[in-house]
Amino acid sequence: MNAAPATTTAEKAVIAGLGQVKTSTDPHEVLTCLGLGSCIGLTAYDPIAKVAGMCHIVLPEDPGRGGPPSPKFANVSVPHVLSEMEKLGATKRHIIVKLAGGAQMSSAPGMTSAFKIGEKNFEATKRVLAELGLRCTATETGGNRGRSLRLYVDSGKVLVSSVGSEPQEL
Amino acid sequence: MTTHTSLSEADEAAWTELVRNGISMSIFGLSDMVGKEVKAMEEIRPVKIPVHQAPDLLGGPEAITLAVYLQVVGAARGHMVLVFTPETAFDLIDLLLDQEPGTTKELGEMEISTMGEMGNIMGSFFLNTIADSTGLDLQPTPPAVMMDMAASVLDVALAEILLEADDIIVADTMFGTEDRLINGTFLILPSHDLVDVVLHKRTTS
Repeated sequence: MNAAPATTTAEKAVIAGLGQVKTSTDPHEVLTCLGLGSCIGLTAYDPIAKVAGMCHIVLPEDPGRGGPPSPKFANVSVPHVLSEMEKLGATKRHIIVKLAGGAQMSSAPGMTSAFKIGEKNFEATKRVLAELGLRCTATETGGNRGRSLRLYVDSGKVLVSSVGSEPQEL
Repeated sequence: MTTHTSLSEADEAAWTELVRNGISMSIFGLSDMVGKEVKAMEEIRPVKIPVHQAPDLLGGPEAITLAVYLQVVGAARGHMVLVFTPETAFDLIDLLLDQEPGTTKELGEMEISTMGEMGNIMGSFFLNTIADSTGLDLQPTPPAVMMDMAASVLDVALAEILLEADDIIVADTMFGTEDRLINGTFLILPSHDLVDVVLHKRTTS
């Protein structure tokens, strides 16, 4: 049993897994984040150049423990998707960003702090967007439910789905 | 940053044995709770996988699951997740509450409490076994019971693991009875520090 309908046969789902960034100009592709809990799914779309990008952000900020920068962190992922989209012809001032996820999946006693990572991810992502001067026009975040996020490259349409409810356009 | 690219064959064998014993004991604890013999359905073999593949162990990122999640705290951190399909969990709740099969249709306070207690028992049996072998102080947090997409219920555990490394040593165990009434998965997701601390302690004790 799955939470949301799959893409149609003409469409090809491109999955942004945990900590991954995907970009596309292929009108048949649907950039997809599946089962976001505390993670943030970010869609970025230039409607003029028809360039799409998606981030699956897991953690707010790189704590600087060494190693190469990883897009699992908000402060690495968002600049990275912007740079990759610009390489494909996107213009920063045209890009529209939407966010989903950042849930607190449980409020079990003793674990409230751990489960607040969703809120921290959302705040960090908003801060990075502001620093980069990117426009965020819609959010579907918080609460205590998982979400899947789909960005249709041909139209820029963004759908959010949860268990037990119809997909909603964001 | 600690990684396990250099985990020796002997360390891998030692970790496998510890986890196998721990899971066997937690399944024994479950048997005791339900009053029926529950067995591991396959050999318990921890494997190292990229963290982003972990939801695939539960039927894919969007598979709807009922999960009981416990953190390991004390000498090191880790995560334990007990996972069922909702239908199986409801059957199990009926069994534990001595109700007619098919009675439970949704998660209320009593049902959440019942699943949480099961997580407590399995988690405690697992950690007690590890503690007995190593002398380490490892405890479970109170359980969190969630019903949602597999990837979303694992997010908090995987985020903490991804803070240290991009791969994970995971033990994925199916268990059930002869008639497969109880057919669930017990996932052990240790932080790399937990593996290191346990193996070190085992070597030096």
